[in-house]
Amino acid sequence: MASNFTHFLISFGEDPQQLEDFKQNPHAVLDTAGLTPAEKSLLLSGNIPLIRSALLTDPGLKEAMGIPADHSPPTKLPGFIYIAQIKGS
Amino acid sequence: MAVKAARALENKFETLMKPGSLTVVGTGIQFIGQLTLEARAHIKQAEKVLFLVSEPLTADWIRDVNPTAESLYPYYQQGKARINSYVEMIERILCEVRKGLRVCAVFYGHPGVFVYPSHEAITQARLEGYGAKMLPGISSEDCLFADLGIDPARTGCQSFEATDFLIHKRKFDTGCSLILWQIGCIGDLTFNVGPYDSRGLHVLTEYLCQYYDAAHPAIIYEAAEYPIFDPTIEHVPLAKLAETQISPISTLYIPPQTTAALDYEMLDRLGIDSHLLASAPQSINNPAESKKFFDELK
Repeated sequence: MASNFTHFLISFGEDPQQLEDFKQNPHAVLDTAGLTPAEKSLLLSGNIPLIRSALLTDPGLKEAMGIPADHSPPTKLPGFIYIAQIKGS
Repeated sequence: MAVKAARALENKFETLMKPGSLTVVGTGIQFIGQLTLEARAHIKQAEKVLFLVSEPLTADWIRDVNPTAESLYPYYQQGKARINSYVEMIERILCEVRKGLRVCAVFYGHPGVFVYPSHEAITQARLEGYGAKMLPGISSEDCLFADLGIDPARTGCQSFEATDFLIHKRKFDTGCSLILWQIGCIGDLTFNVGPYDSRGLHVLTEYLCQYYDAAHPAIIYEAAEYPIFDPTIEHVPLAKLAETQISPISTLYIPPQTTAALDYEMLDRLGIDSHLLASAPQSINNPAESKKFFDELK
């Protein structure tokens, strides 16, 4: 899944016109991107947790994140927090 | 002359340092597009990359750019105190620096904003005699200013981590913008793969309603991780905050409720014309008001 999908998402950062086109007519842009039907419907859903879960079903991407194969991925990583202040005060 | 001398001293200092160095960079919030050229170059040229990002494609991209890249994620474990995970991450980073390698540690967002291990790793590396530096990145706060159209210079801006805000009873000004981070995991110091305890949100709501009107507008914000999606911007009356669906990384923005009074004595001391200030438009989002103001200045 990753390669085409990744390049497709990267391309938006490099081509604002493509991003504009996607916002105007997502189906047309997706049709020319060479994505699989599953990838297209994932993007059209606009559901980011769903996209993340779908991406992490790819063993290569799960491994890239460093998530052990038998562990569930988090919905989102919370940022690093204020522990220094708690310890210091 | 002074610059030359300083540079020479710096070079001498660098030659005295041990081999091995640490550069900490950030990926920004949005997938790849917010990574600076400088950060990208450091990731590419490092002899060892260690990273912690929140998005799988970014992880894949980093490993593609530098095959030495290794995720720090395995130090997180369900229910484990985050401080213990951070200490282990710091040690892992330093272990590679001590080998004499040029190490690049990559974190999502700005690597120095809400990132405990990055600052600690730099401090520790310097204490041990290694060169260490941080490059700035794009943080959630930068995205918030852009997406909500807020200029922190207008009313001033207070920014706190939500748990820190409550447990230290931080002093704040209701005449100034208030940003509270991580309202979705208040009081929870562990790492969870699932939802965080939302009790803290009720406490925060009650606390804020002592200072603001219950109907005062607030915004729950989350920056967009992918360029094709919009950021989450949900308007809620403050009293309804605890009833809203939020995520562990949701941020609360509260606009000023009151207008700060002018200190005329200070205006006099600074030689500022008070009439000019009094007629300044209250909102740059009101074009008519702004035009009138600037026309009057002509």
